Amino acid sequence: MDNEMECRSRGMMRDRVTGLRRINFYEPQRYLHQISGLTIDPVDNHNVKCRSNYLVIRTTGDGAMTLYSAGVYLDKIVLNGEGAKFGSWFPIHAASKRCW
Amino acid sequence: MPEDFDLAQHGPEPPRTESFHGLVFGAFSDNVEPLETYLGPGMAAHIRRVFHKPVEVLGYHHQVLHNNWKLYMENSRDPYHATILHTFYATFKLNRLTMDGGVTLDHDGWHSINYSKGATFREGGYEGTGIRSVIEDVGLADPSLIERRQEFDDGITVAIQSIFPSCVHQQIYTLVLRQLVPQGPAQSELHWTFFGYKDDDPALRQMRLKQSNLIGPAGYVSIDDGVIAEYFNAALRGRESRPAR
Repeated sequence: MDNEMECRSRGMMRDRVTGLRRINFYEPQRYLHQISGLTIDPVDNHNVKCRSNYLVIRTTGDGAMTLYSAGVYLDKIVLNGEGAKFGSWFPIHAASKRCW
Repeated sequence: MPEDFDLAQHGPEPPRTESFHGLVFGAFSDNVEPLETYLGPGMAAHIRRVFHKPVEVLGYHHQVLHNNWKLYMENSRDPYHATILHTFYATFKLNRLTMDGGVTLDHDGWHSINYSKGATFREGGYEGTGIRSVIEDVGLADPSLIERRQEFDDGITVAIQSIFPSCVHQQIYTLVLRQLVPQGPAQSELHWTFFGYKDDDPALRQMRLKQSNLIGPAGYVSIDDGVIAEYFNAALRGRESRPAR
């Protein structure tokens, strides 16, 4: 569970949203999320692998901008006839900090 | 560097280390008393109580706090802050203000334990008292988040142990050691080590992992601890701080 949240149900997702909207205290903040360097690699007629770079910049209430997270997305897209859906979506944060 | 400079003669100062029931403490002082004396009887008993059987690390979290380290450590010692700051408890109707609890101090107040006993809760203790921030229509969509077991015979279900200068040991649903590393006057980094017992059954282990959502860096409850110290720090420096709610 290193630096991950452990969410196991739809209810936990709802509670998280309720928490952010109505309960928790936190600094006002906005995120700018940029995706670049997308490569698309078809596996077969129904499956596509994608890789892209991501960058998230956080702007806090006082106007300070910081690099919040940067890394790579490894995605599997499934084409099921009705459209394209994520089969899996795997973000890899570039800095891994486990123990000091 | 001159030819005759001998690296072996100029190593970093070695810390003095001592371990107590598996917890390793270090100090650069030769004068500080032996670890168990430094901790005092109340602190030592509490560590012995939790580390009474083999533990296993479940994972780590790291959290940068934009505040002086002392603000965080003072917050963890303040027994009133939970019901005032952590609106999660009131909003989800989890406040248990009628529970028995107390504070243990050692080493002339350097260390403290705030604790409470869940089973001593009595209904009806605070209805109609005008306690703020109870939002009537909100309840937990997934109440399994707050399942708990009576793990200790003394009945203590929540305990926060603060050991001077920079260690916090939590028994609130989860078992965690927190170490605070100062990184300058206005920044520190909090290292969370989550652990369980080697003999945890799968359900208990799952419960510990899930409840890192309550008391972890992004926990419903402890997310407030990070920001409140940041607001204090901003106020001390004269910057306007605006709570987002």
